[in-house]
Amino acid sequence: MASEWRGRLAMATCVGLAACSAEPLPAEEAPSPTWTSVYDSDSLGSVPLAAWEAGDDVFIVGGGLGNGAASLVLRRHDGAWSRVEADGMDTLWWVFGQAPSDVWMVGERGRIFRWDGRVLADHSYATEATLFGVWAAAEGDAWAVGGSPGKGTAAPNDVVLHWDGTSWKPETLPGAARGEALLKVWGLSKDSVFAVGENGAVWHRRDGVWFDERAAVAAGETLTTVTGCSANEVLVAGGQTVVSSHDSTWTPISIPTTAHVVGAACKGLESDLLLVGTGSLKLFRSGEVWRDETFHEPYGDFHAAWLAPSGDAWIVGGDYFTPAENGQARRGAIAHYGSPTRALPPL
Amino acid sequence: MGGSGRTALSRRESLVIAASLSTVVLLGAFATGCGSPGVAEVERDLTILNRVSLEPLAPDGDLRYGPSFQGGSWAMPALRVRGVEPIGVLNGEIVDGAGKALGSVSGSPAHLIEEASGTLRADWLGIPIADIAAEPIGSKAPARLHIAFVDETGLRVESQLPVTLVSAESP
Repeated sequence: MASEWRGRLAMATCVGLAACSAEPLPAEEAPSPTWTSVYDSDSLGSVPLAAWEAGDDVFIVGGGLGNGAASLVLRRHDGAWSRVEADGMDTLWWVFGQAPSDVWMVGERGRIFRWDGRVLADHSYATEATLFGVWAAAEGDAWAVGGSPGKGTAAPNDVVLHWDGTSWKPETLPGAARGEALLKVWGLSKDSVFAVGENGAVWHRRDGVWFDERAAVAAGETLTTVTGCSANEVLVAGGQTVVSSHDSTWTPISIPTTAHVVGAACKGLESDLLLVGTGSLKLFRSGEVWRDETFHEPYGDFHAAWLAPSGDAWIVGGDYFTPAENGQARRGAIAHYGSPTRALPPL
Repeated sequence: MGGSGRTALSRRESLVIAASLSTVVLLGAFATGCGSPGVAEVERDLTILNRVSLEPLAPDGDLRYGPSFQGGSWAMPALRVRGVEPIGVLNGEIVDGAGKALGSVSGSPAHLIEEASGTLRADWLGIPIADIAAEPIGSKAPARLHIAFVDETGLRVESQLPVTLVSAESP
Protein backbone atom coordinates (compact mmCIF):
# COMPACT_ATOMS: atom_id res chain seq x y z
CA MET A 1 0.00 0.00 0.00
CA ALA A 2 2.89 2.36 0.77
CA SER A 3 4.11 2.02 -2.79
CA GLU A 4 0.66 2.84 -4.11
CA TRP A 5 0.67 6.08 -2.13
CA ARG A 6 4.10 6.96 -3.44
CA GLY A 7 2.69 6.53 -6.91
CA ARG A 8 -0.24 8.77 -6.11
CA LEU A 9 2.12 11.34 -4.64
CA ALA A 10 4.15 11.32 -7.81
CA MET A 11 0.99 11.86 -9.82
CA ALA A 12 -0.07 14.69 -7.57
CA THR A 13 3.32 16.29 -8.13
CA CYS A 14 2.82 15.95 -11.86
CA VAL A 15 -0.51 17.69 -11.66
CA GLY A 16 1.10 20.49 -9.70
CA LEU A 17 3.94 20.91 -12.15
CA ALA A 18 1.57 20.91 -15.09
CA ALA A 19 -0.42 23.67 -13.48
CA CYS A 20 2.72 25.74 -12.94
CA SER A 21 3.96 25.30 -16.49
CA ALA A 22 0.75 26.78 -17.83
CA GLU A 23 1.59 30.16 -16.31
CA PRO A 24 3.29 32.65 -18.65
CA LEU A 25 7.02 32.93 -18.17
CA PRO A 26 8.74 36.25 -17.57
CA ALA A 27 10.10 37.58 -20.85
CA GLU A 28 13.74 37.23 -19.84
CA GLU A 29 13.43 33.54 -18.89
CA ALA A 30 14.26 30.83 -21.39
CA PRO A 31 11.54 28.26 -22.01
CA SER A 32 11.74 25.29 -19.67
CA PRO A 33 13.00 22.06 -21.18
CA THR A 34 10.16 19.82 -22.22
CA TRP A 35 9.51 16.30 -23.44
CA THR A 36 8.85 15.86 -27.14
CA SER A 37 7.50 12.58 -28.42
CA VAL A 38 9.58 12.16 -31.56
CA TYR A 39 8.10 8.78 -32.46
CA ASP A 40 5.35 6.71 -30.84
CA SER A 41 4.02 4.21 -33.31
CA ASP A 42 4.42 0.77 -34.86
CA SER A 43 5.07 2.20 -38.33
CA LEU A 44 8.76 1.23 -38.21
CA GLY A 45 7.80 -2.27 -37.07
CA SER A 46 10.74 -2.10 -34.70
CA VAL A 47 11.60 -1.09 -31.20
CA PRO A 48 14.29 1.58 -30.79
CA LEU A 49 16.57 0.23 -28.06
CA ALA A 50 19.51 2.59 -27.73
CA ALA A 51 20.51 6.15 -28.59
CA TRP A 52 23.81 7.99 -28.83
CA GLU A 53 24.42 11.63 -29.62
CA ALA A 54 27.46 13.70 -30.48
CA GLY A 55 27.18 17.21 -31.78
CA ASP A 56 24.78 17.36 -34.70
CA ASP A 57 24.54 13.60 -34.97
CA VAL A 58 22.11 11.27 -33.22
CA PHE A 59 22.05 7.52 -33.81
CA ILE A 60 19.21 5.27 -32.68
CA VAL A 61 19.26 1.50 -33.16
CA GLY A 62 16.83 -1.33 -32.56
CA GLY A 63 14.86 -3.97 -34.36
CA GLY A 64 11.86 -6.25 -34.46
CA LEU A 65 13.02 -8.68 -31.75
CA GLY A 66 12.06 -11.71 -33.78
CA ASN A 67 9.04 -10.21 -35.49
CA GLY A 68 10.61 -10.11 -38.91
CA ALA A 69 11.49 -6.42 -39.15
CA ALA A 70 14.83 -5.32 -40.59
CA SER A 71 17.61 -4.09 -38.34
CA LEU A 72 16.89 -0.51 -37.34
CA VAL A 73 19.47 2.25 -37.67
CA LEU A 74 18.20 5.82 -37.56
CA ARG A 75 20.47 8.83 -37.95
CA ARG A 76 19.72 12.46 -37.35
CA HIS A 77 22.26 14.73 -38.99
CA ASP A 78 21.92 18.51 -38.94
CA GLY A 79 18.34 18.10 -37.78
CA ALA A 80 17.22 15.73 -40.55
CA TRP A 81 16.34 12.10 -39.87
CA SER A 82 17.19 9.27 -42.24
CA ARG A 83 17.20 5.52 -42.07
CA VAL A 84 20.59 3.90 -42.62
CA GLU A 85 20.35 0.59 -44.45
CA ALA A 86 21.67 -2.27 -42.35
CA ASP A 87 21.67 -5.76 -43.83
CA GLY A 88 19.60 -8.40 -42.09
CA MET A 89 16.83 -8.69 -39.55
CA ASP A 90 18.92 -8.90 -36.42
CA THR A 91 17.87 -6.53 -33.70
CA LEU A 92 20.58 -4.08 -32.71
CA TRP A 93 20.69 -3.60 -28.95
CA TRP A 94 23.27 -0.86 -28.47
CA VAL A 95 25.11 1.98 -30.11
CA PHE A 96 28.16 3.89 -28.95
CA GLY A 97 30.56 6.14 -30.75
CA GLN A 98 33.89 7.82 -30.29
CA ALA A 99 32.91 10.43 -32.83
CA PRO A 100 30.18 10.90 -35.43
CA SER A 101 32.49 9.19 -37.91
CA ASP A 102 33.28 6.22 -35.67
CA VAL A 103 30.14 4.59 -34.24
CA TRP A 104 29.70 0.95 -33.19
CA MET A 105 26.37 -0.92 -33.19
CA VAL A 106 25.86 -4.45 -31.87
CA GLY A 107 23.01 -6.93 -31.67
CA GLU A 108 21.60 -10.38 -32.18
CA ARG A 109 23.72 -13.30 -33.47
CA GLY A 110 26.96 -11.45 -33.00
CA ARG A 111 25.96 -8.66 -35.36
CA ILE A 112 28.40 -5.74 -35.28
CA PHE A 113 28.30 -2.68 -37.53
CA ARG A 114 30.65 0.29 -37.66
CA TRP A 115 29.66 3.65 -39.11
CA ASP A 116 32.57 5.60 -40.58
CA GLY A 117 30.64 8.76 -41.38
CA ARG A 118 29.47 7.52 -44.78
CA VAL A 119 28.61 3.81 -44.68
CA LEU A 120 27.99 0.92 -42.32
CA ALA A 121 30.69 -1.72 -42.40
CA ASP A 122 29.89 -5.25 -41.21
CA HIS A 123 32.26 -6.48 -38.50
CA SER A 124 30.01 -9.27 -37.21
CA TYR A 125 31.46 -11.90 -34.93
CA ALA A 126 30.62 -15.58 -35.39
CA THR A 127 28.39 -16.38 -32.42
CA GLU A 128 24.76 -17.20 -31.75
CA ALA A 129 24.92 -14.96 -28.70
CA THR A 130 23.25 -11.58 -28.67
CA LEU A 131 25.64 -8.70 -28.16
CA PHE A 132 23.79 -6.34 -25.83
CA GLY A 133 26.45 -3.71 -25.21
CA VAL A 134 29.38 -1.95 -26.81
CA TRP A 135 31.76 0.76 -25.64
CA ALA A 136 34.88 2.18 -27.23
CA ALA A 137 37.91 3.78 -25.63
CA ALA A 138 39.54 4.70 -28.90
CA GLU A 139 39.48 3.94 -32.61
CA GLY A 140 41.45 0.75 -32.07
CA ASP A 141 40.14 -0.20 -28.64
CA ALA A 142 36.50 -1.25 -28.15
CA TRP A 143 34.57 -3.78 -26.08
CA ALA A 144 31.37 -5.70 -26.75
CA VAL A 145 29.52 -8.02 -24.35
CA GLY A 146 26.61 -10.40 -24.63
CA GLY A 147 25.19 -13.83 -24.13
CA SER A 148 22.04 -15.91 -24.19
CA PRO A 149 19.84 -14.85 -21.25
CA GLY A 150 18.24 -17.62 -19.25
CA LYS A 151 20.17 -20.41 -20.95
CA GLY A 152 23.10 -20.86 -18.58
CA THR A 153 26.09 -22.79 -19.81
CA ALA A 154 24.00 -24.60 -22.43
CA ALA A 155 24.40 -21.64 -24.80
CA PRO A 156 27.02 -18.96 -25.46
CA ASN A 157 27.28 -16.81 -22.38
CA ASP A 158 29.82 -14.71 -20.46
CA VAL A 159 30.67 -13.24 -23.87
CA VAL A 160 33.33 -10.53 -23.89
CA LEU A 161 34.87 -9.34 -27.15
CA HIS A 162 37.68 -6.85 -27.70
CA TRP A 163 38.39 -4.82 -30.83
CA ASP A 164 42.11 -4.29 -31.16
CA GLY A 165 42.00 -2.20 -34.28
CA THR A 166 42.02 -5.10 -36.71
CA SER A 167 39.54 -7.71 -35.46
CA TRP A 168 37.19 -8.69 -32.63
CA LYS A 169 38.74 -11.28 -30.32
CA PRO A 170 37.13 -13.12 -27.40
CA GLU A 171 38.34 -12.63 -23.85
CA THR A 172 37.82 -15.32 -21.26
CA LEU A 173 36.69 -14.21 -17.84
CA PRO A 174 38.55 -15.76 -14.91
CA GLY A 175 37.25 -18.85 -13.13
CA ALA A 176 34.65 -21.36 -14.22
CA ALA A 177 32.08 -20.32 -16.79
CA ARG A 178 29.13 -18.64 -15.08
CA GLY A 179 26.64 -19.12 -17.88
CA GLU A 180 25.47 -15.54 -17.54
CA ALA A 181 24.59 -13.08 -20.26
CA LEU A 182 26.44 -9.79 -19.99
CA LEU A 183 24.15 -6.92 -20.91
CA LYS A 184 26.19 -3.73 -20.94
CA VAL A 185 29.79 -2.52 -20.92
CA TRP A 186 31.28 0.89 -20.10
CA GLY A 187 34.74 2.17 -19.45
CA LEU A 188 36.00 5.05 -17.39
CA SER A 189 39.23 4.73 -19.37
CA LYS A 190 40.95 2.11 -21.48
CA ASP A 191 42.33 0.63 -18.26
CA SER A 192 39.06 0.59 -16.30
CA VAL A 193 36.21 -1.23 -18.04
CA PHE A 194 33.01 -2.54 -16.41
CA ALA A 195 30.60 -5.21 -17.65
CA VAL A 196 27.29 -6.11 -15.97
CA GLY A 197 24.59 -8.67 -16.54
CA GLU A 198 22.44 -11.51 -15.36
CA ASN A 199 22.13 -12.36 -11.66
CA GLY A 200 23.92 -9.19 -10.64
CA ALA A 201 27.12 -9.96 -12.53
CA VAL A 202 29.69 -7.15 -12.27
CA TRP A 203 33.12 -7.49 -13.86
CA HIS A 204 35.78 -4.80 -13.68
CA ARG A 205 38.84 -4.89 -15.90
CA ARG A 206 41.67 -3.03 -14.24
CA ASP A 207 45.00 -2.73 -15.97
CA GLY A 208 44.37 -5.76 -18.13
CA VAL A 209 42.89 -8.10 -15.51
CA TRP A 210 39.19 -8.86 -14.97
CA PHE A 211 37.97 -8.79 -11.36
CA ASP A 212 34.65 -10.10 -10.09
CA GLU A 213 32.94 -7.27 -8.14
CA ARG A 214 29.51 -8.91 -7.85
CA ALA A 215 29.76 -9.30 -4.08
CA ALA A 216 30.70 -5.65 -3.56
CA VAL A 217 27.70 -4.46 -5.56
CA ALA A 218 25.37 -7.12 -4.08
CA ALA A 219 22.61 -6.42 -6.57
CA GLY A 220 20.84 -9.75 -6.20
CA GLU A 221 19.07 -9.17 -9.52
CA THR A 222 19.97 -8.70 -13.16
CA LEU A 223 21.82 -5.49 -13.92
CA THR A 224 20.75 -4.16 -17.28
CA THR A 225 22.97 -1.13 -17.56
CA VAL A 226 26.25 0.48 -16.63
CA THR A 227 27.18 4.04 -17.45
CA GLY A 228 29.97 6.42 -16.64
CA CYS A 229 29.25 9.61 -14.78
CA SER A 230 32.70 11.19 -14.59
CA ALA A 231 36.33 10.22 -14.83
CA ASN A 232 36.10 8.21 -11.60
CA GLU A 233 32.39 7.47 -11.21
CA VAL A 234 30.39 4.65 -12.72
CA LEU A 235 26.82 3.63 -12.07
CA VAL A 236 25.17 0.22 -12.50
CA ALA A 237 21.41 -0.36 -12.44
CA GLY A 238 18.66 -2.86 -13.02
CA GLY A 239 15.27 -3.54 -11.46
CA GLN A 240 15.22 -1.80 -8.11
CA THR A 241 19.00 -1.68 -7.88
CA VAL A 242 21.08 1.43 -8.51
CA VAL A 243 24.66 1.39 -7.23
CA SER A 244 27.45 3.85 -7.90
CA SER A 245 31.18 3.41 -7.68
CA HIS A 246 33.27 6.40 -6.78
CA ASP A 247 36.97 5.72 -6.77
CA SER A 248 36.24 1.98 -6.59
CA THR A 249 33.91 2.15 -3.58
CA TRP A 250 30.41 0.86 -4.34
CA THR A 251 27.51 2.70 -2.71
CA PRO A 252 23.81 1.85 -3.16
CA ILE A 253 21.51 4.67 -4.18
CA SER A 254 17.98 4.70 -2.77
CA ILE A 255 15.53 5.50 -5.55
CA PRO A 256 12.06 7.03 -5.02
CA THR A 257 10.24 4.68 -7.37
CA THR A 258 8.84 1.18 -7.39
CA ALA A 259 9.18 0.96 -11.15
CA HIS A 260 11.62 -1.40 -12.86
CA VAL A 261 14.78 0.49 -13.83
CA VAL A 262 16.27 -0.65 -17.14
CA GLY A 263 18.41 2.21 -18.45
CA ALA A 264 20.47 5.02 -16.97
CA ALA A 265 22.46 7.99 -18.14
CA CYS A 266 24.37 10.57 -16.20
CA LYS A 267 26.81 13.42 -16.50
CA GLY A 268 28.07 13.30 -12.94
CA LEU A 269 26.46 11.89 -9.86
CA GLU A 270 26.46 15.30 -8.28
CA SER A 271 24.69 16.82 -11.25
CA ASP A 272 22.31 15.04 -13.61
CA LEU A 273 21.17 11.45 -13.53
CA LEU A 274 18.31 10.03 -15.59
CA LEU A 275 16.81 6.61 -14.91
CA VAL A 276 14.30 5.06 -17.31
CA GLY A 277 12.39 1.80 -17.32
CA THR A 278 9.05 0.11 -17.50
CA GLY A 279 5.78 1.88 -16.84
CA SER A 280 7.02 5.16 -18.39
CA LEU A 281 9.72 5.56 -15.74
CA LYS A 282 11.56 8.86 -16.22
CA LEU A 283 13.35 9.81 -13.05
CA PHE A 284 15.83 12.70 -12.92
CA ARG A 285 18.23 13.44 -10.10
CA SER A 286 20.05 16.73 -9.75
CA GLY A 287 22.30 16.87 -6.73
CA GLU A 288 20.24 15.24 -4.02
CA VAL A 289 16.90 16.24 -5.51
CA TRP A 290 14.82 13.70 -7.42
CA ARG A 291 12.24 14.71 -10.01
CA ASP A 292 9.86 11.97 -11.10
CA GLU A 293 8.29 12.52 -14.52
CA THR A 294 6.92 9.02 -14.83
CA PHE A 295 3.34 10.22 -15.06
CA HIS A 296 4.12 12.88 -17.67
CA GLU A 297 3.89 12.11 -21.35
CA PRO A 298 5.50 10.42 -23.18
CA TYR A 299 4.38 7.02 -21.96
CA GLY A 300 5.90 3.65 -22.68
CA ASP A 301 8.38 1.08 -21.49
CA PHE A 302 11.73 2.74 -21.94
CA HIS A 303 14.91 0.79 -22.40
CA ALA A 304 17.73 3.30 -22.64
CA ALA A 305 18.63 6.94 -22.13
CA TRP A 306 21.34 9.19 -23.44
CA LEU A 307 22.15 12.41 -21.67
CA ALA A 308 24.00 15.03 -23.70
CA PRO A 309 26.43 17.50 -22.13
CA SER A 310 23.82 20.22 -22.69
CA GLY A 311 21.39 18.37 -20.43
CA ASP A 312 19.19 17.33 -23.33
CA ALA A 313 18.18 13.70 -23.21
CA TRP A 314 17.03 10.98 -25.57
CA ILE A 315 15.01 8.04 -24.30
CA VAL A 316 13.95 5.07 -26.39
CA GLY A 317 11.92 1.93 -25.95
CA GLY A 318 8.52 0.44 -26.63
CA ASP A 319 7.45 -3.17 -26.76
CA TYR A 320 10.78 -4.78 -25.96
CA PHE A 321 9.68 -7.10 -23.16
CA THR A 322 7.16 -9.42 -24.76
CA PRO A 323 8.15 -12.36 -26.97
CA ALA A 324 7.78 -12.34 -30.74
CA GLU A 325 4.29 -12.83 -32.12
CA ASN A 326 4.17 -13.98 -35.75
CA GLY A 327 5.35 -10.90 -37.57
CA GLN A 328 3.24 -8.46 -35.60
CA ALA A 329 4.81 -5.01 -35.78
CA ARG A 330 6.20 -3.80 -32.51
CA ARG A 331 5.37 -0.42 -31.12
CA GLY A 332 8.33 1.83 -30.51
CA ALA A 333 8.92 5.11 -28.76
CA ILE A 334 11.55 7.83 -29.09
CA ALA A 335 11.38 10.93 -26.91
CA HIS A 336 13.60 13.96 -26.46
CA TYR A 337 13.97 16.16 -23.41
CA GLY A 338 15.11 19.72 -23.98
CA SER A 339 14.05 22.29 -26.51
CA PRO A 340 11.13 21.20 -28.71
CA THR A 341 12.20 18.84 -31.48
CA ARG A 342 10.59 17.81 -34.73
CA ALA A 343 8.82 14.46 -34.89
CA LEU A 344 10.31 11.63 -36.87
CA PRO A 345 9.07 11.86 -40.48
CA PRO A 346 7.80 8.75 -42.27
CA LEU A 347 10.88 6.68 -43.12
CA MET B 1 -13.97 -17.43 -9.13
CA GLY B 2 -14.24 -15.84 -12.55
CA GLY B 3 -11.88 -13.80 -14.66
CA SER B 4 -13.01 -10.58 -13.07
CA GLY B 5 -13.93 -9.37 -9.66
CA ARG B 6 -15.51 -6.36 -8.11
CA THR B 7 -14.10 -4.70 -5.06
CA ALA B 8 -15.78 -3.72 -1.83
CA LEU B 9 -15.78 0.09 -1.68
CA SER B 10 -13.95 2.11 0.93
CA ARG B 11 -15.59 5.23 2.34
CA ARG B 12 -13.24 7.41 0.25
CA GLU B 13 -14.01 5.46 -2.90
CA SER B 14 -17.72 5.67 -2.20
CA LEU B 15 -17.44 9.43 -1.92
CA VAL B 16 -15.59 9.65 -5.22
CA ILE B 17 -18.21 7.52 -6.91
CA ALA B 18 -20.99 9.53 -5.33
CA ALA B 19 -19.40 12.67 -6.79
CA SER B 20 -19.15 11.01 -10.20
CA LEU B 21 -22.78 9.92 -10.04
CA SER B 22 -23.80 13.46 -9.12
CA THR B 23 -22.10 14.66 -12.28
CA VAL B 24 -23.91 12.03 -14.31
CA VAL B 25 -27.22 13.11 -12.78
CA LEU B 26 -26.56 16.77 -13.61
CA LEU B 27 -25.51 15.99 -17.17
CA GLY B 28 -28.52 13.75 -17.55
CA ALA B 29 -30.79 16.52 -16.35
CA PHE B 30 -29.42 18.92 -18.96
CA ALA B 31 -29.61 16.30 -21.69
CA THR B 32 -33.20 15.38 -21.03
CA GLY B 33 -34.57 18.80 -20.19
CA CYS B 34 -34.84 17.88 -16.52
CA GLY B 35 -37.06 14.91 -17.23
CA SER B 36 -36.19 11.54 -15.79
CA PRO B 37 -32.38 11.65 -15.73
CA GLY B 38 -31.81 7.92 -15.38
CA VAL B 39 -28.72 7.44 -13.26
CA ALA B 40 -26.10 5.30 -14.96
CA GLU B 41 -24.43 2.79 -12.72
CA VAL B 42 -20.65 3.01 -12.64
CA GLU B 43 -19.22 -0.41 -13.44
CA ARG B 44 -15.78 -0.95 -12.03
CA ASP B 45 -13.91 -4.17 -12.51
CA LEU B 46 -10.66 -5.75 -13.65
CA THR B 47 -10.45 -8.74 -15.95
CA ILE B 48 -7.25 -10.75 -16.31
CA LEU B 49 -6.50 -11.57 -19.94
CA ASN B 50 -4.35 -13.90 -21.95
CA ARG B 51 -1.59 -11.62 -23.28
CA VAL B 52 -1.69 -12.99 -26.83
CA SER B 53 -5.41 -13.44 -27.45
CA LEU B 54 -6.52 -10.62 -25.12
CA GLU B 55 -9.40 -12.92 -24.13
CA PRO B 56 -10.27 -13.41 -20.46
CA LEU B 57 -8.04 -15.96 -18.81
CA ALA B 58 -10.22 -18.88 -17.73
CA PRO B 59 -9.97 -20.25 -14.19
CA ASP B 60 -7.06 -22.70 -14.10
CA GLY B 61 -6.04 -21.45 -17.55
CA ASP B 62 -2.41 -21.61 -18.66
CA LEU B 63 -0.14 -18.74 -17.63
CA ARG B 64 3.27 -19.04 -19.28
CA TYR B 65 6.46 -17.98 -17.58
CA GLY B 66 9.96 -17.90 -18.98
CA PRO B 67 13.00 -15.73 -19.69
CA SER B 68 12.55 -12.36 -21.33
CA PHE B 69 15.04 -10.95 -23.84
CA GLN B 70 17.34 -9.69 -21.09
CA GLY B 71 16.89 -12.61 -18.72
CA GLY B 72 14.96 -13.18 -15.58
CA SER B 73 11.87 -15.36 -15.53
CA TRP B 74 8.57 -13.57 -16.05
CA ALA B 75 4.86 -14.16 -16.30
CA MET B 76 3.04 -11.57 -18.41
CA PRO B 77 -0.72 -11.49 -18.10
CA ALA B 78 -2.69 -8.66 -19.71
CA LEU B 79 -5.68 -6.96 -18.14
CA ARG B 80 -8.75 -4.92 -18.95
CA VAL B 81 -10.44 -2.54 -16.50
CA ARG B 82 -13.58 -0.43 -16.40
CA GLY B 83 -14.66 2.51 -14.33
CA VAL B 84 -11.29 3.97 -13.38
CA GLU B 85 -8.85 6.55 -14.73
CA PRO B 86 -6.12 5.38 -17.14
CA ILE B 87 -3.15 6.46 -15.04
CA GLY B 88 -2.22 4.61 -11.89
CA VAL B 89 -0.16 1.82 -10.48
CA LEU B 90 -0.37 -1.95 -10.86
CA ASN B 91 0.33 -4.62 -8.31
CA GLY B 92 0.56 -8.29 -9.12
CA GLU B 93 1.33 -11.44 -7.18
CA ILE B 94 1.54 -15.13 -7.95
CA VAL B 95 1.42 -17.68 -5.14
CA ASP B 96 1.71 -21.44 -5.36
CA GLY B 97 -0.85 -23.96 -4.17
CA ALA B 98 0.46 -23.71 -0.62
CA GLY B 99 0.19 -19.94 -0.60
CA LYS B 100 3.92 -19.31 -0.97
CA ALA B 101 4.77 -16.22 -3.04
CA LEU B 102 6.45 -17.15 -6.32
CA GLY B 103 6.79 -13.62 -7.58
CA SER B 104 5.31 -10.18 -7.28
CA VAL B 105 5.43 -6.65 -8.61
CA SER B 106 4.34 -3.70 -6.55
CA GLY B 107 3.55 -0.13 -7.52
CA SER B 108 4.40 -0.52 -11.18
CA PRO B 109 3.43 2.75 -12.91
CA ALA B 110 0.88 2.23 -15.64
CA HIS B 111 -0.77 4.31 -18.33
CA LEU B 112 -3.58 2.12 -19.62
CA ILE B 113 -4.61 2.08 -23.27
CA GLU B 114 -8.11 3.37 -23.98
CA GLU B 115 -9.99 0.89 -26.14
CA ALA B 116 -12.68 1.84 -28.63
CA SER B 117 -15.33 0.42 -26.33
CA GLY B 118 -14.27 2.81 -23.59
CA THR B 119 -12.58 0.18 -21.50
CA LEU B 120 -8.91 0.40 -20.54
CA ARG B 121 -6.24 -2.19 -21.19
CA ALA B 122 -2.71 -3.04 -20.16
CA ASP B 123 -1.12 -5.25 -22.78
CA TRP B 124 1.07 -6.90 -20.21
CA LEU B 125 2.08 -6.77 -16.60
CA GLY B 126 5.51 -8.28 -16.00
CA ILE B 127 5.60 -10.31 -12.81
CA PRO B 128 9.08 -11.63 -12.08
CA ILE B 129 9.02 -15.27 -11.04
CA ALA B 130 11.83 -15.42 -8.55
CA ASP B 131 11.09 -18.20 -6.12
CA ILE B 132 10.48 -21.22 -8.28
CA ALA B 133 12.93 -23.95 -9.07
CA ALA B 134 13.99 -24.35 -12.69
CA GLU B 135 11.47 -26.70 -14.28
CA PRO B 136 11.58 -28.47 -17.65
CA ILE B 137 9.86 -26.63 -20.48
CA GLY B 138 6.18 -27.52 -20.51
CA SER B 139 5.91 -28.49 -16.86
CA LYS B 140 2.80 -27.21 -15.11
CA ALA B 141 1.96 -26.21 -11.56
CA PRO B 142 -1.20 -24.82 -9.91
CA ALA B 143 -0.99 -21.25 -8.66
CA ARG B 144 -3.12 -18.22 -7.90
CA LEU B 145 -2.75 -14.87 -9.64
CA HIS B 146 -3.83 -11.59 -8.04
CA ILE B 147 -3.74 -8.24 -9.86
CA ALA B 148 -4.84 -4.84 -8.56
CA PHE B 149 -4.89 -1.44 -10.24
CA VAL B 150 -5.19 1.81 -8.29
CA ASP B 151 -5.87 4.90 -10.37
CA GLU B 152 -4.67 8.43 -9.71
CA THR B 153 -7.83 9.26 -7.76
CA GLY B 154 -7.38 6.27 -5.50
CA LEU B 155 -10.04 4.08 -7.08
CA ARG B 156 -9.05 0.44 -6.91
CA VAL B 157 -10.05 -2.57 -8.96
CA GLU B 158 -8.68 -6.05 -8.54
CA SER B 159 -9.13 -9.64 -9.51
CA GLN B 160 -7.71 -12.97 -8.55
CA LEU B 161 -7.79 -16.22 -10.39
CA PRO B 162 -6.52 -19.79 -10.07
CA VAL B 163 -4.09 -20.42 -12.92
CA THR B 164 -1.83 -23.13 -14.22
CA LEU B 165 1.75 -21.93 -14.40
CA VAL B 166 3.49 -23.33 -17.46
CA SER B 167 7.27 -23.25 -17.81
CA ALA B 168 8.05 -21.99 -21.31
CA GLU B 169 10.93 -20.73 -23.43
CA SER B 170 9.44 -17.25 -23.26
CA PRO B 171 6.69 -15.65 -21.20
